[in-house]
Amino acid sequence: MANPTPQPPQQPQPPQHQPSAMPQVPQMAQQPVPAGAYAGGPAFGGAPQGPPHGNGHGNGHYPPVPAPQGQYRHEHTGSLHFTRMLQSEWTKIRTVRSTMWSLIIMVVLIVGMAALLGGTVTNEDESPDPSVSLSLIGVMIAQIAAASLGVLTISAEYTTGMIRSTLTAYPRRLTVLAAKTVVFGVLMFAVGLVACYLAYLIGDSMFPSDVVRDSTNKEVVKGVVGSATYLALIGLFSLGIGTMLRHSAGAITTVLGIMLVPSIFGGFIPGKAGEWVVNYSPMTLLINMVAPAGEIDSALNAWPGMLLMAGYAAAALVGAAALLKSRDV
Amino acid sequence: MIEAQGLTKRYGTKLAVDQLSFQVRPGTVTGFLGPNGAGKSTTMRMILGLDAPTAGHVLVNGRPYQHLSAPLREVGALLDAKAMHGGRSAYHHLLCLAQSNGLPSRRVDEVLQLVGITAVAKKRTRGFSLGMGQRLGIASALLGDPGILMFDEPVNGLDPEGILWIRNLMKALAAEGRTVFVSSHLMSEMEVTADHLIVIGQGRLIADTSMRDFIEHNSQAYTVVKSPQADKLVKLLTAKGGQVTPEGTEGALRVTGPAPAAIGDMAAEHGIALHELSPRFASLEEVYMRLTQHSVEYRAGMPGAGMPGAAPHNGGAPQGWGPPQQQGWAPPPGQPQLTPQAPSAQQAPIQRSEG
Repeated sequence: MANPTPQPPQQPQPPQHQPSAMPQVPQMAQQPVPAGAYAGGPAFGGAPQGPPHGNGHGNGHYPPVPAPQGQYRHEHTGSLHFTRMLQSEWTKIRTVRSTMWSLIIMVVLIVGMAALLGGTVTNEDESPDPSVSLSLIGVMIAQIAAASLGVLTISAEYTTGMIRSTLTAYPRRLTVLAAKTVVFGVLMFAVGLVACYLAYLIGDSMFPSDVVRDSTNKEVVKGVVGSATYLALIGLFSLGIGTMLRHSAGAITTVLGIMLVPSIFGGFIPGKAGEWVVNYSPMTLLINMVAPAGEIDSALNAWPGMLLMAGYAAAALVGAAALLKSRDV
Repeated sequence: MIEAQGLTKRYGTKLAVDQLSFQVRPGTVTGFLGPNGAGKSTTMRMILGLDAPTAGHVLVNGRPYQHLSAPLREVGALLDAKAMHGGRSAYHHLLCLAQSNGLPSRRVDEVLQLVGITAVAKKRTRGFSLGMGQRLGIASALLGDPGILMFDEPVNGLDPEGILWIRNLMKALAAEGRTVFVSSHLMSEMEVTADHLIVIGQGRLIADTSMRDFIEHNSQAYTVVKSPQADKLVKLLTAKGGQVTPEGTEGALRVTGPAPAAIGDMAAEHGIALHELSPRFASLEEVYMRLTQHSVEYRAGMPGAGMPGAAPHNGGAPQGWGPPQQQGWAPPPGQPQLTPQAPSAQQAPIQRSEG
């Protein structure tokens, strides 16, 4: 009893709960039971009374269990709000390192490629491209980081078991997915916007005038906003794939395959099918967004192409929603 | 209050939970007891809406879990200690959960203090020991100050100090009038924490009783008898309606039915020498083993290698005494807990002894 760790439940405060709170000890005493008959009975029953491991042990490791605070009363609370879930998802995404690293890699690739090309390209061209087109070459590689982060945002919850905590705290699964979509999409678009504009500024100031021509405002908006939109959409597409597959490696591989394979091997498919695969692949849609207007020989123009990209992302998210809702966690 | 009605969960051909109906009431610690693989965790996941029942339903405070307006304020659950992102700090783990239910961040500091991990709150949880992870899990369960608490095997892997702490915490929570539902596969653990018991085996309800009744009805007495004229004594005892089974390896008998005095008198009357006559009580652990022996999913191969209750010997052939129809360790009469699997399970030892 001289133990520094008090044992409050031995003295429950509300008297009306005393009988229900600890019936087993008195009962066992009442039974005509020989001491040795209950395997572990006296040892277990007696343990809470005595010091667990002698003196000076466990000082401060476990805090004292608080004494019962009178009768628990359930307070009725308001309903769940979407804004709370947005807040929660924002906390989640900003408090893991994979987010920071993915975003840093993405920005470095976009801005770095502009600086690298700006410092090295010397080609002369009869009809120079607008500076923004050349500045945003890095987006083609940086989308890999966006896709990885999109997958990890949800797949890491599955691989770590966090998803059970998430869905226990907030059992409306579609709301959880919607909140993730909004938070991730907005974050991706914002970071992409800043990175792409920065890349344009750097490229524009570094490229020699015989390599590029000045970009019109319209071209800058199309290139920068379009690339940021693309990064957000490919990320959301990946979020959907990640939700459906639940495994990080599998989902990232799948997304990379969808991103890269059509533009590399689509040309080998004979006839219209090959053309079709190439034209509507995400990579082509991105190139259409960044490339100078005159050089597009694709079936889709830049912004309609982005609409198709949004359709891809939406399809992946609808599939994700259906599986998330129907599957056990 | 948790109410399950005909709760069933089927995974492919395997029935994990079978027609389970029970209630968990406020103000007590309700123990959810069953061997590994009995369906305890699956049941708890269905209560939380993580798994959808194949049939039946379960209500929490009268509503399905998905319909709760702020789940963390009504139910706190510790399902497994590692349901968290290892790269996130303990504080942020709790913060994102708190925010999702509109709980103030002050509450995060409170529960960190309550479980005593304030010092490591800013550390990423990947490096946490099992005990630390368990405490963080408990902190998240207490976050919304809920009226219902569920703990799945909370003492697994904890040191004695941690076990004691969790026990006291559960009792304190129940004493405040909360519903505490705790699962375990150890009777010895339930013996010291639970006021009420729900026992399941192979997904089915075996017992739903108060601890008091469970002790009174199940820890029934028996007598250990040793005699050089065992054969004669067995005949007399079985004629009197007693049940006789071997006890230990030294030729002792375990007699259920006649009181020790009656056995002694009978022996004296027939001139049988007794070397031992000692009254015993079945431990709760033994009773539990007996209740669930036919529903243990993974049984050790050796008959008699396990606990006393694990069908060690059949009353039949090898020893050459006792009536052949005797059922070695059948549940006491009046206990309807036998599962339909019982016959096949009981035949197993016979087959082994003959082959």
